[in-house]
Amino acid sequence: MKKFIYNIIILLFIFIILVLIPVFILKTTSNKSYLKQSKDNTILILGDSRTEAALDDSIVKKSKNFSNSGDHIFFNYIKLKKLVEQNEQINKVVLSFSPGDLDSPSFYMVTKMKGRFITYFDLIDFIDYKDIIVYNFEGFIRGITGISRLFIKSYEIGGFIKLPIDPKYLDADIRNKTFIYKTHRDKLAIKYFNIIIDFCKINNIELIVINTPLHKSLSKRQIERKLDYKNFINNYSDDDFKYLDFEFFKLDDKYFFDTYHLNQKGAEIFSIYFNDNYETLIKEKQWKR
Amino acid sequence: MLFNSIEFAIFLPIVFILYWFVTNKSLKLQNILLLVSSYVFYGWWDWRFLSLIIFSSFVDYFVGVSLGKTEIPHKRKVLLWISIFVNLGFLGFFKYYNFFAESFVDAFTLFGKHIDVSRLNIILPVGISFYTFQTLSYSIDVYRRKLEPTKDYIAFFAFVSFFPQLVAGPIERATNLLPQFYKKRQFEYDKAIDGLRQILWGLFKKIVIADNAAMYANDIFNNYEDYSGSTLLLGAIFFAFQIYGDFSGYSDIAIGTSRLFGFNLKQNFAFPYFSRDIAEFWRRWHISLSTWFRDYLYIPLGGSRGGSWMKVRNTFIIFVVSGFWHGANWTFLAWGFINALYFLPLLLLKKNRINTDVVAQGRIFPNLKELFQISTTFFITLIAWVFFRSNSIQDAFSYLSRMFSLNFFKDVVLDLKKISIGADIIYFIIIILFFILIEWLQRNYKHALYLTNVVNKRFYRWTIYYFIGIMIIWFGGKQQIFIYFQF
Repeated sequence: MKKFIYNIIILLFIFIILVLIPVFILKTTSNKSYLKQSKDNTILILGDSRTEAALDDSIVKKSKNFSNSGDHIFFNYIKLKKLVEQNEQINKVVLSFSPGDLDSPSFYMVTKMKGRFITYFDLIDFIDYKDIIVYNFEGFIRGITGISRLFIKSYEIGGFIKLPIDPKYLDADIRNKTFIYKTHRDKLAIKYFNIIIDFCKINNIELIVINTPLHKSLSKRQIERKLDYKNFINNYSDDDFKYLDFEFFKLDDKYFFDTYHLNQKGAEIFSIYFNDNYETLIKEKQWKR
Repeated sequence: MLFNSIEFAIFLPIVFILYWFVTNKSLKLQNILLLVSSYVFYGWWDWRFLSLIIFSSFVDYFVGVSLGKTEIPHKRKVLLWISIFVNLGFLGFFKYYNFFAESFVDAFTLFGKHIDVSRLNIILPVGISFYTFQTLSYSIDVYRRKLEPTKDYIAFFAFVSFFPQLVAGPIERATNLLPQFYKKRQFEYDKAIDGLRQILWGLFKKIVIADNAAMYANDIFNNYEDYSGSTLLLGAIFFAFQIYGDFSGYSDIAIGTSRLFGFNLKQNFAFPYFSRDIAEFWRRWHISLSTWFRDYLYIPLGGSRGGSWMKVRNTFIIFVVSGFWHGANWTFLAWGFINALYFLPLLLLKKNRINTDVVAQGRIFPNLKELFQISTTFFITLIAWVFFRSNSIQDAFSYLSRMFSLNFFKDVVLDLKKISIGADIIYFIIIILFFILIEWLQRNYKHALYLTNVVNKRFYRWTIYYFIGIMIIWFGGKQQIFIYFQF
C-alpha cells in the first residue's frame, strides 16, 4: 500500500508540474503584442456573437471589432482593460449588451468557463480570478489544467466574422415558437457592466451600448424579457453611456443568418448605416426609446 | 455524481483512504462504508430516489431469506413473482408508463376513437434498469438454487448499490459479486495499478472520444436534412464511436474503480468493433446485459433448442426486449428488431459460433478476408445505430435514404466546414485513428491500457500515462452526461 500511495503522489506531483509549467511559461513570456492596434483605430467594438456578426470593422471607420461568440460581459471587461492598456488612442467603445447578456448563465457553465479561461488566460489579472474561483471553481480547475493547450492554439480573442447567406438557419429558427421568458438578472453581468462604465469614465472613453438588429419573430417571443432589459437600461443616465437600440432596424429576412444574427450581407448594410449615423443618433438622443 | 466530475475526483480518494486505512480491520465496517458511500454517490444526483433502491433491496433480501426457509414449490414461485413484480413494476412505471399510455391513445386514434389517458411528468431514476436487473438476478438464482440466500443484509444492500457500477453497469450477477462482499479484501498493488490504468483509459474514451463525437453526431443527426450522404455516413460513424466510447468508457471506469477496492467485475466490452460477424459483435458488446438476457430470458424460453420456429421466436423476443430495455421508444424496438434480423441467418445456418477467438490472433494486421468481415459488420451495426440515435423511426428512414442517395459527395467540403465550426474535425479524426490503433494492438487483453508484462520499463509506462492525460486535457470535448444513465 505504501508503494502504491507513494507512486500515485509522485505521478500526480509530476503531472501537476507538467500542467503548471505552461501556465508559468505563458504568463511570464507573453508581451501581449497581439493586442497592439494601429494608431488610427480609436474605436473598440466589444460584445458577443451578435456584434461579432453585425459590425464589419472594415466598414466602420477607425474601429476594430473584438467581439467573440458567447462572451460573458466579464470577459469583455477583461479584454477592454488590456486593450486600453496597450492602445492609449482608444477613445470610444461600442459594447453590445442585450437582454441575453442580462440573464446569461454562461459564466456559471463549466465547459464554457473552461474554454473562455483558456482563450483569455493571458489577459486575466490576478485580482480577476476571485469571481471565477468563487462562482465557477470547477471551470477554473478545468481551465487551469487545459492551459497547455495554448501551445497548439493561438490566442483568438475575437473579430468580425462573416456568417454565410443561407436561409435554412433562419427558417429553422422561425419554426421555433417557444416564448423566452424573463429569468433572473445575473448579478455578475450587472457588476461587470457597472465596472465597464466606471472604467470608461476614468479613462475618458465614450461608451456606446448597442442592441443589434433582431429578427421580428424573435422580438415577439421575448417581449417580457425585453421589458425587463429596458427597465434595467433606463436606470442609467446619458453620463454613464449612450444607448442605441437597433432591435427593430428594418432588414429583410434575406439579411439574417438566424433570428439573432445578421449574415454577411446584413452586416454590410448595418455597418454602413451604423458608420454613417451613429454620431447623429447619439446627438439626437435616440436612447431611452 | 459523474465519473468525469470534480466531485468524483474528491469522493473517490476519500472513500479509498477510509476503506483501506480506517475500516480495513473489519469486513463489516468496510461493507458499511461501501454502502454509505454508494448511497452518497447516488443521492448526489437525487436523494429522493434512494428510497427506490432501499425498497428494492429490502424486498429482494426478504424474498431471498424466505426462499431459503421454504421448500414448497408453490410458495417459492409466489416469492419469486413478488420480486419480479416489484422490480419490473418500478421499471415499468418509471420508464414505460408514458410510452404505453401514448401508444394506447395512438392505437385508439387509429381506429377513429379518441380517448384521454393522462401523461405523467415522471423523472426516470438514474440507473434503475441496471440495479433492478442486478437485484432480480439474485432472487432468480436463489430460486433456482444456484445461490445460497444471504443473511448478511449489509453485504446484500452494498451489493445492490455498489457505487462503481450502480448507475450504468456492468450488470453484475449475484453469483459473481455478492460472494466478494463476504470475503476480506486484500489490497493488491498490481490489481490496483491496473485498475487505475483502466480508469484512465475509460476517461479517455469518455472525455476525448465520446464527448467530441457527440458534438459532431448531434449536429449531423439534428440537421440531417441539410447534409450530403457522405456527411450522414460520417455522422453515423461518429455516433458509433460516441456510444462505444461513452458506454465502454463508463464500464472501464467502473471496473477499474472496483479493482481499487479489491473487487473483480466482469468484462463488459471486448473490442466489439473488431467483430467479424454480428454474433461475435453481440458476444463482445454490453456482455453483462446480453448474458443476462441469455440466462434469464432466452434459455427459459427454450433457447436454440427445438425447431426453427422456436429459434426465430426466441431470437426476436430477446433482441426486441433488449431494445426495449434501452428506452421507451419505437426506435429502440426497431434497433433490436434489426439486430435480430442480422443475427437470425447465422443462427439458422448454425454459423453463429464460428468466430469465437480474437481476430488475427498472433498477427499484427488482419488478412483481407478479416478486414472485409470487420468492415461489413461495422457497417451493418452503423445502420442499426441510425435507428437507435434518431428521434423517430420516420427520421431514421429519412436519414438512411439521404445517406444512400445520389448526392453522396455533394457539398462535402462545405458540410465539413459547417460541422467544424467551433472545433477542428481533422484533429478529432486523427484521434479516432489513434484510438482504433491502440484498441487493435491491445485486443488480446481485458482493456486497452493493460500494460503489465507488455511495457516493462516504468519510464515508458509513465510516459504513456502523461501522454493520455495531456490528450484528455487538450482534446477533451464538452462534458456530456453518460448516455446510458438515461437507460
